[in-house]
Amino acid sequence: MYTLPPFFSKAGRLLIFALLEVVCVILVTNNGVMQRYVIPKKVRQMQSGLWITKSNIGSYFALSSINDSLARENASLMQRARMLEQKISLMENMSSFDSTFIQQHLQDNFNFQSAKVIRNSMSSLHNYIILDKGSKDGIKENMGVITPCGVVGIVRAVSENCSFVLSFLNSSQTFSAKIGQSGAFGPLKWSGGSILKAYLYEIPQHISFEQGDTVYTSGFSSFYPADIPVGTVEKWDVKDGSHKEVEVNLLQDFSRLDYALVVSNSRMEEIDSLLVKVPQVN
Amino acid sequence: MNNFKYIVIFILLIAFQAMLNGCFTFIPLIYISILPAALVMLPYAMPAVPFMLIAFACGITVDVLSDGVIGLNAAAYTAIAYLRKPVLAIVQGKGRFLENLIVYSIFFLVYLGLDGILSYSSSVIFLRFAINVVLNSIFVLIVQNLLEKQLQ
Repeated sequence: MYTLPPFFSKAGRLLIFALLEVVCVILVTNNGVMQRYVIPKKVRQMQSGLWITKSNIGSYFALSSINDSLARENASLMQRARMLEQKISLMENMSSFDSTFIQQHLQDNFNFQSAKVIRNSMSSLHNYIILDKGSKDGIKENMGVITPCGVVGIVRAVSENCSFVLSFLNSSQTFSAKIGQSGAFGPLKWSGGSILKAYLYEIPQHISFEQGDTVYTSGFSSFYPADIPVGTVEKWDVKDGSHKEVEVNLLQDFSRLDYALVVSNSRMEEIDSLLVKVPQVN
Repeated sequence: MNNFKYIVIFILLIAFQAMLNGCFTFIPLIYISILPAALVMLPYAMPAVPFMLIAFACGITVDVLSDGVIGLNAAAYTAIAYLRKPVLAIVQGKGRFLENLIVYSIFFLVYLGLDGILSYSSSVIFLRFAINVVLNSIFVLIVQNLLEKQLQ
């Protein structure tokens, strides 16, 4: 005769026992006056206890995703805090750097608009910067981009929300700079090596200056206002027996560039139209 | 023949139990039940599942006849049927009184559990449990001895 395995037999007995007990409990609950109210109440209490436990267990295992979420939120807040710090610092620098300078240039038809650097290329000879301000913020092509510590570049393309800036860290990019407040001027060009070095060319040999002298924008460009400090003189060499080539330590560290000022010159169109007329004059 | 004798005795015991339930209503704390002991006395070789079904049916019958809460006795009898073999294995040769004590402990654990553990205080339940286990064990011991003499 076929006999059931011991485990199945034991499990089967237990199952039938449990079923009979459940039937009894149901009968008691339905027939006992007190049990009718007490048992469901206790069952509900047990249920709620189980739900709380389940919820706690669920919360425990969800801690990982909660942590991720908090970390993301934390990063976002840190970024925001940093952004605000930069903004405050920029504003402080602007005011401490030369508030009269900005006021003066505002009067001189230079307007400044801060923008956040959202991309900054520094690893090639043709670097660029993307700012978070675009045409809807009034940014246009050929606007200069500066910081209180130097020249950053020129806006070359604008979309609705962003603008593409040809960085000063570009082998083809130069601007006019001078040594000292009323010194000699010449084109300042990035060396293509260190992001903290640039060279000022075509300084007449007879011009004297010292190491550590400040190099400023000359103001001969319609992109940038004059007298923005861009660097300090490190050393110089005489080239071709007539000109000095000055090594300049840039004040602006491009690797720490988070915010910049976009400079708009309201006389730009006037100057451009004048330049267009020059060939006609010639 | 032996089986027929068991069945007759069992029917009589169920009727007696129903009568006891009707008589002992003046002391609500005490509940005398002889059927648990009778269930244990059924043939040891009887398979567990039919034994549990018999116990359940007996319990329902007693509940219906005694006009009590249907399911109380059935639950307690079924528990005894399920645990009979392990219990008998433990108390074998240690005296009938100890066997009765354990059987009635199981019975009242389930019975009082369903009847009042959710609504009465723990001291009342413990008192009720202790009194009933001891009283029933003694009472059933007497009945068992009388029945044994009758069956011989």
